[in-house]
Amino acid sequence: MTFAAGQAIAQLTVADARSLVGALHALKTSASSSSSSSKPVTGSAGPTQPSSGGTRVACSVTLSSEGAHLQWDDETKSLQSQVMLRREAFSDIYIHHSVADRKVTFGVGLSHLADTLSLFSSESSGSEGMTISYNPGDERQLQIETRSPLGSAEPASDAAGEAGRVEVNAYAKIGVHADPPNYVDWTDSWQMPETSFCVRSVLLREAVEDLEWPGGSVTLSVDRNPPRVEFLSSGAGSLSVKLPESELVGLSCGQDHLRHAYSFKRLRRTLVAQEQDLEALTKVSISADGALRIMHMLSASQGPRAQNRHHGATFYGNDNYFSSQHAPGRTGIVQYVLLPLSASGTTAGF
Amino acid sequence: MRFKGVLTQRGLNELGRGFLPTLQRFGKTVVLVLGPEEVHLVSEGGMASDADSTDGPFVCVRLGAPLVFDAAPLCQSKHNLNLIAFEFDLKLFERVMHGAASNEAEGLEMKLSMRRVPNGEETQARPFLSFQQGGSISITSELPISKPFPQAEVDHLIALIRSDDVCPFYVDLMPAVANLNESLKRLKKLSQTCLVTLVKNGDAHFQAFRMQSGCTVGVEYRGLEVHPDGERVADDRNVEAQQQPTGRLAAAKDLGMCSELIVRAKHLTSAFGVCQYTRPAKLLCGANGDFLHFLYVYLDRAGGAVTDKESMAIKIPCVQDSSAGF
Repeated sequence: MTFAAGQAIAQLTVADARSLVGALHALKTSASSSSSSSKPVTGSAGPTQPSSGGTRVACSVTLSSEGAHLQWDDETKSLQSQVMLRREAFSDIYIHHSVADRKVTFGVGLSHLADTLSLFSSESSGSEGMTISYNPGDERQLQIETRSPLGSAEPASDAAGEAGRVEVNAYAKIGVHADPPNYVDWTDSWQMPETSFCVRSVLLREAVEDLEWPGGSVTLSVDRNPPRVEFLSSGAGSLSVKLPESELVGLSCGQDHLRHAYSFKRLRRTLVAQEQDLEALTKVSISADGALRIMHMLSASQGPRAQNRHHGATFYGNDNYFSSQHAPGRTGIVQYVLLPLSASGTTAGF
Repeated sequence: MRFKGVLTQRGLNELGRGFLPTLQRFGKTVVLVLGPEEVHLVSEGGMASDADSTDGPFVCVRLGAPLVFDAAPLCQSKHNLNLIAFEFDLKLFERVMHGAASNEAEGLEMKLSMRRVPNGEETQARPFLSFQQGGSISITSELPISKPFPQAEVDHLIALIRSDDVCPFYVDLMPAVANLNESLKRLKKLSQTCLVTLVKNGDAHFQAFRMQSGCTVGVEYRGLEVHPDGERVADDRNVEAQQQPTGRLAAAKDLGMCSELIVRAKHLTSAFGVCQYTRPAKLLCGANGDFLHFLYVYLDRAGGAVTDKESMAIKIPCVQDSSAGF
């Protein structure tokens, strides 16, 4: 399939960039902490990667008529992260009709994307929206654009009439890899029965922040009867943080007792990046073999397409993402899957 | 060589609150060129022929003598135009200005003087610019200055100052200045240098590149005024047809409507930042092969029309070395 140079084949517009920036803030935080970890991994993007990019983590991006999906694996291969944005998060989605399945996938250096987008995050207020377009033509690039009029806020002199016509467009171009890293969605091999509950994100974050022990691990313990969710941490001494029962929503236990240990550093990474929205909910699920899935719902800041909210309900076939009673109105999800530490103390995923 | 003049309140204000902080953004010293008609303040940066470093901006403030001085100042020298040029420290000048402002100096008199100062065992005559305030208490502050420049050097300075209006066209960036300051902060995170592209249809692009990653970040301003009017080109259909800023830029380049230059981002930041001190009505920006030319245009005292008694020009040299990342 060939396309004319300069023609974008996928273009997504976000009316209010806040939710997107929120999601990407999460992305950036976990990206920057992974890039600081000691073990550089050659990106799986292969030969198309620029020579300098050997130590960079590439993420896989899918743009489709259903929204946008970003996925990347932590360098330690024990943490997988995804950002999913439903079509409701976008005010407009355009995918060229000749694109197979109306879906384009490509790889992009995670830190490039995160750094570049962070430049735009301050732009999000007052702008008319952010447009993300992908052009596989000769330059093969992702282009991000925000457009805003320079309004009367200018301390302009008598030339206010002139100033009103001035328009500002901030833009960025990022080179992408045609072949995305071939990531497997770890939830595809999710072992049932699972244990799950919902809790306010801020509570979860505070609980984990309280548990810090140098280099330690954190054990998550869930009991069916009496219902009890507890984080345990042991180092020089031991500490446990119990989530108040009244804050737990929809606790469903696959087993009577469940105990799994996770790396504190990585567990915290999955929780700290979230927005300061006090009411935001996080769904926590633990598979039968201990894989921990944390889903942060991104709230809809405004819903021009809210009436279509069931349209994207089978997001990439993962209908359970939105089946929760708390999901309607949410425009996207940031998901982390964290593998448990095995009995020997190393990560099972190695 | 003689100079004597009484500063006006406006002259004092504009020097002290406007151009003094402006010049301090660009250097520690300034050259003052006094003449019967005009006063120039010049910060040479790297544009002067004798400078070793080639990367400083050249700043020139031009003030009409009637704006700065009450009556026609007394100005005599061996120079055929009776010009006097010397250099002094801005920090000391700031002290004089603040002293004058805090005393609400009426009729601050400025004159050249020589004074003998101790130098080791003997005394030596040194030039000073002295400021004397009249009124009930008379306060004199003396600003040490360099030896007056020889005639050839004065002529060289004047040649630099007069080389105005050298770009094919200018774009008024004033409506965008506040936003530009914000944008530059972001561009600077990517690169120390910035590619400025001015388009004859009133567009201006500021771009930063990160070489290794093939990442470009830019900001486009549309609908700016073009000077002179005759150089303005109406939006071309090819340019308008492009949905994306980069497409418009490429189309405009194909049509030869652009002039572009790579400069240091920090110099741009200074050029935009100083607008807060003097609040120009227009900030014209043009480019030729060697430098980016900023012209600060001010309104006259009544605030109605553009004045020719007061102006500032800043020339930012282009980045020469290829390691700039382009």
